[in-house]
Amino acid sequence: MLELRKWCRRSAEVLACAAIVAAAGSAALAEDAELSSASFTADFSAMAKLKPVVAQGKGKIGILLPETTTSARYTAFDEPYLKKAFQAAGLPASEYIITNAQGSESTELTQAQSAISQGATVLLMDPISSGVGASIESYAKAHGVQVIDYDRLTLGGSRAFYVSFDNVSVGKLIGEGMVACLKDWNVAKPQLLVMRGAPTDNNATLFAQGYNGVLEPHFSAGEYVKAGEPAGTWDPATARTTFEEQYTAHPDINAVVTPNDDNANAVISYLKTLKVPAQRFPTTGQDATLTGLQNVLSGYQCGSVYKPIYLEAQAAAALAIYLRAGVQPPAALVNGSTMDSQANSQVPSVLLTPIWVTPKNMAATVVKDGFVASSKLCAGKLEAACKANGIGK
Amino acid sequence: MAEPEVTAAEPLLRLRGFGKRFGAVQALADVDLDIPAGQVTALVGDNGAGKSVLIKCIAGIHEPDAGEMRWEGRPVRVRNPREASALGIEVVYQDLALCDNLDVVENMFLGRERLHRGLLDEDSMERSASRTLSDLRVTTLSSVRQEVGALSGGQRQSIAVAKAVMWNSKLVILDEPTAALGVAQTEQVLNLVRRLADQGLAVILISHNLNNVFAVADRLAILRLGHLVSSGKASEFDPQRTVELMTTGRSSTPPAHALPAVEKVTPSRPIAEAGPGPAPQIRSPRDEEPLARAGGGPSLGFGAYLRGWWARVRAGQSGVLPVLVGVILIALIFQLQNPRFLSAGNLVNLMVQGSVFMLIGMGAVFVLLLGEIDLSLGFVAGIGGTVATELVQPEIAWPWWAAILAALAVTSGLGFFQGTLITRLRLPSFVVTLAGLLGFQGIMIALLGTGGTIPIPDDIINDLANGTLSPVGGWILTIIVVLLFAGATLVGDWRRRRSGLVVAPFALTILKIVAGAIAGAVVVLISNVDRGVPAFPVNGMPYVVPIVFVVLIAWSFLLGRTRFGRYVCAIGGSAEAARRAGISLAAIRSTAFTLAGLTAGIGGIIYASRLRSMSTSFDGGTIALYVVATAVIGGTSLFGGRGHPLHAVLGGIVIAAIVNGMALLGLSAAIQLMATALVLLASIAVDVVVRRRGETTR
Repeated sequence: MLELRKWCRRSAEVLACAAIVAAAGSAALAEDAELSSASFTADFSAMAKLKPVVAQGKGKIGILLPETTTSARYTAFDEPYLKKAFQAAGLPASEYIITNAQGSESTELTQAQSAISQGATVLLMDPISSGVGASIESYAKAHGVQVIDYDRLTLGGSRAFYVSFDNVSVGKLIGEGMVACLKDWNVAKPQLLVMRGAPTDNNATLFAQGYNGVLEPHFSAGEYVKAGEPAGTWDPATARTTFEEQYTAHPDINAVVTPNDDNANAVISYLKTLKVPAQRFPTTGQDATLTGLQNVLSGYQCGSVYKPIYLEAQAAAALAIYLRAGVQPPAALVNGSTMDSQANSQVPSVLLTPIWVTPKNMAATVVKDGFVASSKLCAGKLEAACKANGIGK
Repeated sequence: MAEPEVTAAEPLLRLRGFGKRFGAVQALADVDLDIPAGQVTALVGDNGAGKSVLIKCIAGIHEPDAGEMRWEGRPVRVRNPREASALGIEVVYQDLALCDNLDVVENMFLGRERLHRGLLDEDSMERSASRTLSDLRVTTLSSVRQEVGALSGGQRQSIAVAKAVMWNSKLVILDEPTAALGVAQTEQVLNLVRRLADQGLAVILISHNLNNVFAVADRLAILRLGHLVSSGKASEFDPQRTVELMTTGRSSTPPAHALPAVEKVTPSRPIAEAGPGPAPQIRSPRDEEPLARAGGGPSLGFGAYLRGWWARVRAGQSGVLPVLVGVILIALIFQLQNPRFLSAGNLVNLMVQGSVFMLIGMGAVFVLLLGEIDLSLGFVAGIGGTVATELVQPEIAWPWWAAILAALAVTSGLGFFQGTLITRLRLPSFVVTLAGLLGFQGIMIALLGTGGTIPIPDDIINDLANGTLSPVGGWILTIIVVLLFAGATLVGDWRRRRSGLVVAPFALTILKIVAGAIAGAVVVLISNVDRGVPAFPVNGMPYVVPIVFVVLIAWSFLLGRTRFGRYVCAIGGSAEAARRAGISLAAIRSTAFTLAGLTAGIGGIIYASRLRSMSTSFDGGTIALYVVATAVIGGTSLFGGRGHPLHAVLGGIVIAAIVNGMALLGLSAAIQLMATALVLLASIAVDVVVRRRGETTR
């Protein structure tokens, strides 16, 4: 750019030159604004790059959130983060509509239809179920409206894009976390019990794919021993029973790959009953729950995969803004694809990479983002651990 | 039959100008009737003649809108059944109003149980019931502790009549007492009716069967279209004239001063079913399960008792036997697959794993006994665990006991709320508690907030499911319990023997105490084996064992020894019978749901304690169904009337053993689900088949 301008100053044909600069400038603008799935940060600064794209587009963005009951995340995180992302990109509040279906499929469909009749050209939808998701998508298609699946994939749907965390990379972080932890905690001759989430949940399969991929070379090298791979569950009480029984059957187990914080906590609860001391028996998890993070701080859990919803919200908002402007989103943003097993097609996807939270980066991640309050995290016996890791005051 | 003297003294009951109108229908008009004591007055008339209305007015179910009722010479008003009972008026309805699942004594005292220091005085009631029955020469019963459902129609009618005369009643009204009976049984009941009058009671008999009427009645009152068309001594009527009066209100034949048309049955005449001569002593073995104070009469020895027990098992009253056999089978199968199944450490795990199901199930038993269902108990428990967890959080920091009490208060409140909706608004419990299942899950998630999981910082609450008594503490506690059990059993036997009631053979009592002591010792020995990891020994009895035991004893006591427990069983057996016995159905039902909520709260706290946290992953829907399964596997009926908290404990062991064993073997989820389904089906099938056998051999 700079060289082009210098060349122009020397040139006599100023007008022609100006035209060339203008053309090159708009190309450069697009280049600057090019976002990748790794661009987003906790301060939403990357969204500002989308201001020109916002200016190019017209029509509204309809955001369809599923419920408030079974998960509080939609009202506590998704909605405010999406608003903040649009604001940072310069999209006025009149240009988007956020609704929540309160768990009712028919409400979600009605809200989609009403958003379209109010002038929405793009729908950002977290479907309550694949059924209602698919019917919203076919309705939108008939009205020339593009749909982005947000967080949950509509199986058998016809959406343009999908935005979510990459579940396989969640599993990879768990596997890598376990490998590092076994070393840090000096676990000799690791005998791993590899647990997993409910077999009915496809995500559980993807998580397992991730950590098994990391651990398999260690098993085949004879470095670790796989003591067992019991039936999967998301129910913590069942997880505790599963661990108790596998531990009874294989008393040599000295580490457990647990797929989430609730399962890890169930195992840890039993380990504490057996008076196993801290930093002796590695477990893993995800979701960065209060319980999980406290177990991480107290040395019963190696770490927890943290999936900052602000990453997901920004990526989804960015994608919606591109679609609204009729601009093809950059390839670095749409960085992968997800299999829709029902439609038997690959869905272009923005797959975000989560964060492995250990005591060391806890202050800089979950605490800084306000995902957990340090006052709650550091209550009681964990005060010293918090202080040692620079958490709280 | 000598004509009674009703000249100077007024009869027991005198009606003058009695009338009752239902809207446009004049059901009764200007009825004048005298009911003298010591006589059977037969009330006859065609359908719609007003017989039922008349007796319902006398019994306080309807209030007459015209006329006067004089009782023992004084004008009275009877506004409800209770006031009628207070005067000494008892009605035996056609459908008897007995609870099939209660025994003879329990039925005879239903609604008027005798108490001794707030608890049911079974011995005194048994004595009185036996005496009343023998006074009335109801002698065909093999035991006053027999369930009424197992009796013949005549016997049931006799019990209903005997029940009516027990309460110093002066007037007994019998509505079609022989309608459903065979010839021999009809005669048995008519004899009983005759004896009532001979003992000085006034009897009103409603019957369509004129043969029966003329066989037993001293006086006749004939109703037609709400009017009393004729009344007088039975000798003044004959069947033909009676039929004419019933149908036309007039008679072509003059009053017959001839002999009665049918020969009267007299008490002295030998009767088919009644034993000759003075009534023999009624034998009264108590055939309750599981801790039955059973016996086969004072003369019966140990062997005879065992034979009696075996006969009852074969007849389908197998109690908890099928589930015990099931537990042993399951244990054997898993032990063969993995020798660690019966290791001490695993058995302790099993007790803790089953405790949540056992606790919630013990509450569910009360709801199931009523013939209702509570699908919300899982999430009621979840709320209990959540409230206790929230209240011990650092920012609230209630002491552990206050948090637990508050949690139990909340869950009891939820139970009461649902119970009230079910009883006061008469909504089906299935729907109300299904709504509860959804709504309470919502409340639980709201309470847990965004994070989804909240850890419990309180060590005492965490120890409820994870901590143990010291080995010595386990011994001391167990010895105290065994001594209390022995003491209670021996004192109970001594009391019964002193009262002249049948007592179980002494050898059996001793055997039971020894068995209890051995069971206790085995639990302590298992618990005291080291089950820890190397270098960190863990032993001692988990606190959940005494917690489950205390709830079991408390709720068994409540069910077996209090009016509340008796009424819960009665309502489950026959809600109509319970209502007629004056039991407040709404209060008992609401209380049972409250109790279930309270117990679920205890289970929920133990659940939270076991995980040292409460999480939105809590699967209350599955728990709600499993607790129903635990109770039913243990022998509690889904249809009401049969159940015991012990069933939930045994069923909980079955469920826990299945889950435990399959997790030990590391079976896949698919196999686990299918195997659990098969075991559930098998255990219910065994139970149902065994009991059905009992019904067909009856």
